[in-house]
Amino acid sequence: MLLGYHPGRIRALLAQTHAAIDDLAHIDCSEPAAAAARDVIWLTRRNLADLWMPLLHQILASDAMTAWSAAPPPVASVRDEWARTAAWLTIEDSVTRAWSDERLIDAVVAQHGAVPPGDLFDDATKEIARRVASDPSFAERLLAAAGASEALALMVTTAAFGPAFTAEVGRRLLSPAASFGPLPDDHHRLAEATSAVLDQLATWPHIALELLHDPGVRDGLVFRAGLRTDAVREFVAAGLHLAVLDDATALGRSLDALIAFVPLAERTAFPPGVAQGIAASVGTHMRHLGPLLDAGAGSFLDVTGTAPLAVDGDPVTYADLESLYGRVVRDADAQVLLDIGLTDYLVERLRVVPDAATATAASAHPADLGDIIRTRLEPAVKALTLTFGDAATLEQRRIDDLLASRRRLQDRAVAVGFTLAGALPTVRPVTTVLKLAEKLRPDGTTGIDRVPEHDALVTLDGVVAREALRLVVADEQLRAAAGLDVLDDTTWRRLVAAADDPAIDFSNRGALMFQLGVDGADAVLVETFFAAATGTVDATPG
Amino acid sequence: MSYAAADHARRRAHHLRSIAVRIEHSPVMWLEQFAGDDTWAGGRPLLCRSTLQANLAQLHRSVDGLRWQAYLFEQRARQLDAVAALAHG
Repeated sequence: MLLGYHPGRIRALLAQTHAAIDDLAHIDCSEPAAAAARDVIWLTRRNLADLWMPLLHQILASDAMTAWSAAPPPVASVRDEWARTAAWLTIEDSVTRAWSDERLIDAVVAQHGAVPPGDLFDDATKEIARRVASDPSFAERLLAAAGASEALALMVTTAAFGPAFTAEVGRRLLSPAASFGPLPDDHHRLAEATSAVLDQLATWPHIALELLHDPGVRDGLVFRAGLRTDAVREFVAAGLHLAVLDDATALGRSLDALIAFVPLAERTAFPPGVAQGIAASVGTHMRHLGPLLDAGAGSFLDVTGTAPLAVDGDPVTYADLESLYGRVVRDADAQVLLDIGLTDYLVERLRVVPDAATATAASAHPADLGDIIRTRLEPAVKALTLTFGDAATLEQRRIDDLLASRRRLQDRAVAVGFTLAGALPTVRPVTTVLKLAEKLRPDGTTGIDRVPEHDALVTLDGVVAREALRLVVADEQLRAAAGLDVLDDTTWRRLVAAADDPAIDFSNRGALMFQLGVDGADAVLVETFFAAATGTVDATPG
Repeated sequence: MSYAAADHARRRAHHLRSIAVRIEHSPVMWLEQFAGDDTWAGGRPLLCRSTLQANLAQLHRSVDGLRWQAYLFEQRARQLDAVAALAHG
């Protein structure tokens, strides 16, 4: 327990405490009617003697106090003394402070498999953290003896340890050499402790990114059973995504770490946490990979000046991404995260649209606005749709192969369930192809035998609709061209507010008018505008 | 005899009042002002202060109890005086 004190005042307090104890001892309570007072006096004395005095003596015996008193300054007055010793000193009031290194390490080893929470454990945690920070050789001996133990894992989750040591513990916990006890419960407890360490490491994105470059860590994340999905997801996303947000120059390292998962994707399916962590980072990675994709050709565009990415020494290929993201789209929650990440990526590309819209404002029409937005997004959407569609197809094929080998059901035909319904007319043929394949799916197919169905770009319609509304809100000419200048003032105010209101879901066209609170003739005008802008003339009014 | 009993009760009352005064003037009563946050801080100092505050409250109650007991003795002494006066009268 950390204790702060003022040396000069502690001396005064000690003197006063002595005086109080002596004085209480000399109060004559022999009068029988004063028995109650005698008991209270006795209790007070005992508390001062047993509680106050040991602590005061401990403080006086501490190094800091000794160091100060070794060279006492001349004291002109109490006030001067206090002024000279005004530095607030601290000492560790620790039971385990006196323990030897070996005793502490042995205690950690002995606690493996049975960690009792309590004051002594907390005390030992702080003492070990202090020695780890000040003595590298102690840290090395501790890691060698108990680096992958449950006890040390729980200690580092208290945040008393630095990132480097915590990372080393995490690395050892995830390595194949991490020791398990003989019982199933031992696996469970170690997995829980490892998950807790991942929680802690996720708070240091740059450390998480460095760890993701370790093959042992990646193997552990993919193959270790029982890790908490949310802990793995946050850890992977911290390394791949948050590290780049903190420092944009880390993008190259993040892409390297991402691509390093490709060989694993070839070997096995990803657990949900890994899939979701990669999916949560897709917006970050697509800023680099998206412009390189030539999905139709099944390759990257030949763009010079980009950092080379490699898988096991060979340049990364479109098939590598297909394989990697195939494992990702297999998880339904990961698909939702992909949806969010890809939409963010597309919205980012829309930032240049207002300039183009202004240039053509004089002749703008709602359909033109939609065209402008779609033209800007079309190549990206097409590439992404094909890439993730291909990934889903590949994953479905893997599942089919697995099922075939397991069940020897040669006639089983499971179709791709993962569709990417692009909102743009140019990508609808692709959607159609995927949806045709969907019809081959037998009824009642569930579980692992098909990639879950999710429209990864379903919100794109909403993106286009919202962006079109923003443009007309910002420009009177566009508003007039869109025919929205005749709207009731109340309706217009609601539209203006909705344009930047994240709570309004523009992709849910059926409920949009209800969300906006618009009805009657105004609703017809607004629906017509959105239908024209997004090119979905067959949109069903709400 | 009755006067002697009254005197005895008064001596006891006086003793009790002196104990009360003695406690009130003990250094323990102002120990707390030396033990504030500007002197020490932390979990154990906090425990020390809390315990002392509880003890001080008990001591104050004891002082009140002592004075009440002294009052009762003095009442008893006056009654004994009155009884003795009647007996002698």
